[in-house]
Amino acid sequence: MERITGKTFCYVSIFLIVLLLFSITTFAATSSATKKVGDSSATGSVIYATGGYAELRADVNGGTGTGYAELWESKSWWPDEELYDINVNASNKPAANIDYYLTRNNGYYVKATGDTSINHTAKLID
Amino acid sequence: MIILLSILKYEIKQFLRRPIWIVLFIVSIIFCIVLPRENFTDIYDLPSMVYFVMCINLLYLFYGAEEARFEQRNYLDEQVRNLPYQNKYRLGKLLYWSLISFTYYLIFFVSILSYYLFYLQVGFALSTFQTTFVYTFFIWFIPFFFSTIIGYILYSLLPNISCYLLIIIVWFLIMPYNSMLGFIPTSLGAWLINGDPNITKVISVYDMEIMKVNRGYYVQRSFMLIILVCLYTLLTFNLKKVGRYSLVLLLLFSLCIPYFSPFVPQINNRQTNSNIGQKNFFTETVLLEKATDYTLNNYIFDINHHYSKHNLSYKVKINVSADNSDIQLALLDDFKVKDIKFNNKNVTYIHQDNIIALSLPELHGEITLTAETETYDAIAPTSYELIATTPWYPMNPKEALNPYKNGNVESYQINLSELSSVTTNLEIANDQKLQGEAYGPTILKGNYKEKDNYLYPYSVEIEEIQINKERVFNEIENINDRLAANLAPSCESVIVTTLYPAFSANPSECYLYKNEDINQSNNIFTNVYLNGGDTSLFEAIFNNVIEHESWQNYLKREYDEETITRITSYYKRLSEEQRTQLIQKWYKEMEGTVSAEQMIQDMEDKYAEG
Repeated sequence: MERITGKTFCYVSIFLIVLLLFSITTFAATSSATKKVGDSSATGSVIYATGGYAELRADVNGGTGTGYAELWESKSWWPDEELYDINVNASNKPAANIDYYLTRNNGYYVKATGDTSINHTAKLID
Repeated sequence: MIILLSILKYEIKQFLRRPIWIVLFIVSIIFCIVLPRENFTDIYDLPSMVYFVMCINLLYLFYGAEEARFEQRNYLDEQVRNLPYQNKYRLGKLLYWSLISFTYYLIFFVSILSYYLFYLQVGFALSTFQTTFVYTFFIWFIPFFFSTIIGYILYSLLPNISCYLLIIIVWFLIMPYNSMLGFIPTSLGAWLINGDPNITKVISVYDMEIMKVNRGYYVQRSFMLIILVCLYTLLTFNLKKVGRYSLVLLLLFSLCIPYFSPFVPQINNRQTNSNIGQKNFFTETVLLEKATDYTLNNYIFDINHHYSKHNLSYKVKINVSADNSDIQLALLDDFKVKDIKFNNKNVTYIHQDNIIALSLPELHGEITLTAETETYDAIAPTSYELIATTPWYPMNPKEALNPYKNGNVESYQINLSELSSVTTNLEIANDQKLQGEAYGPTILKGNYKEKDNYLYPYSVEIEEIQINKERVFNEIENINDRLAANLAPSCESVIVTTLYPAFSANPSECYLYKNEDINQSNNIFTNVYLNGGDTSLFEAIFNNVIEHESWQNYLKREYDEETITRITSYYKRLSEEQRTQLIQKWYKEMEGTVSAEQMIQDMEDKYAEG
């Protein structure tokens, strides 16, 4: 049996890593981003919608002030588009959610933004 | 004139002798259409080509630099300086660059329009074409032309290879991308941007709002033109001392334009639906007891829309009749209060967290408030939506929290700076004022249609609105069932909004958001059913999220360990039916303002009942 050379091993590894990354981005059902205290924003990974309503939610983990969970549509070659956002507040509104209709096969992701003093998570659950 | 034409002819011949630029220009057009071809759906998408337009601008910067390099390599400058027509040659060069960039722009524009018309078969009206043409003229053609001059000037000042690095840095700083990253503050950056100052969409009643060239664009482009032409003239023209000094003075004067101009090209801010769409008015300010025990009436407004950015200002006089001297008014923080007078005397006030707190010298009198905004998203340069259910004007905080339950009819008189394209829930009187009685003033500027009881943007179909309305009413019915309530907004008239992204209602009007992709039940629940006060625990139980980590963290900050354990454990033990019974009780008896102690007590009792 022929030995697998280092070069072939290298090619196969790269192929598998690319495949793995592709699989993660293609089939992940949740885009999640956690903005820590001191950060201005955090961005989640792109997910591809199955078509139908998905839940956009924001949850306060700590800190003070207001945070936003922004729903973005990813577009190749063009600027991404913000579709909607919801807010939470550490003092009286620790969680918020809405359902938003996502078009099948389009790419979407979330951004957690808001006051630097808040720690919160933005999630898009398809 | 003939000399100028001969110079143009000469330069065009030179251009044709260098096919590299022809090839680069043609390839750039092909790339701009072929690469994002799947993204093209409607003509409104053109501003989204911003990245490609940025690349074309870089190409023109290099082209300008190459023009300067070509001149230097062939010692053209020395030759021209000895000619009697030096200044005309330099002027001819400017005309030639404008001709080249305009020809490129025309080919580019026509190619894209053809793609829409013939390949995608998207038709559009003449007015759409006009808007598109004006937009692309200012955002595509003029920046291409300016880039050529900038490239030429930069290479003339730094005639070596490092100039190209400088060009890239300059390009990065003056391109729209900078407005997104904010390396230069937008107040200054907007004046330097050689392209579209808005990289993101501007939400408006008009799909093409982002393509509407406002007054700020004209001022900014004139500002840049003066600076570039002055610099070019100083560098290349043969001028006498007086001419040279005059140009320097003109240059210095034009640099001051941004400080004096009332119009600015930068119009978009971060578009936060949350600021206007979801009830979060009083996050940190607790409403003082009795501070909302007053009535407001006889509003008289003078409203000025400034057709630039999100700028609008107004002065309002209101008759107030209060039970206490310390009162609180609701007014969104986006509207910055300039001053408040009571019976023409200044009074002190604090405006924060969307609440104005002030102390009245007397219990009855007239409040005069002056406010202006540059940030309120529902105001765009050519349209706006000021709707009765939002505190864009001073109102009682209770009404702001729930206009459906706490709305009062008041009389209004409104003087607008311009009445064209304005639709309102008031009457337009003979003297061109808006006046009448309503639960609040709604003023919409833009292209709206009216049919039956619906008032809606021109781009929306009435069938869509009916479907959307039906959905909202189904959601209301579901909430009614869960709360054993029977709220039924009459919706005598339905107003469809594009900028206010949630359902809201007062006793006579319903406001529907045009986008039907959003399930509105949460907004309806808070905007129509809840009545202010601390309803957070009730909302958590209603939405079945009390066990969620974020809620548990919140409870830990607010209550002791024992309280949290008892709420959570009782909640887990209760059946779905028992939970529903408690929700109905808390809503019926206290409209959701249930305290933790009361909640535990009721849960205990309910659990004991079995």
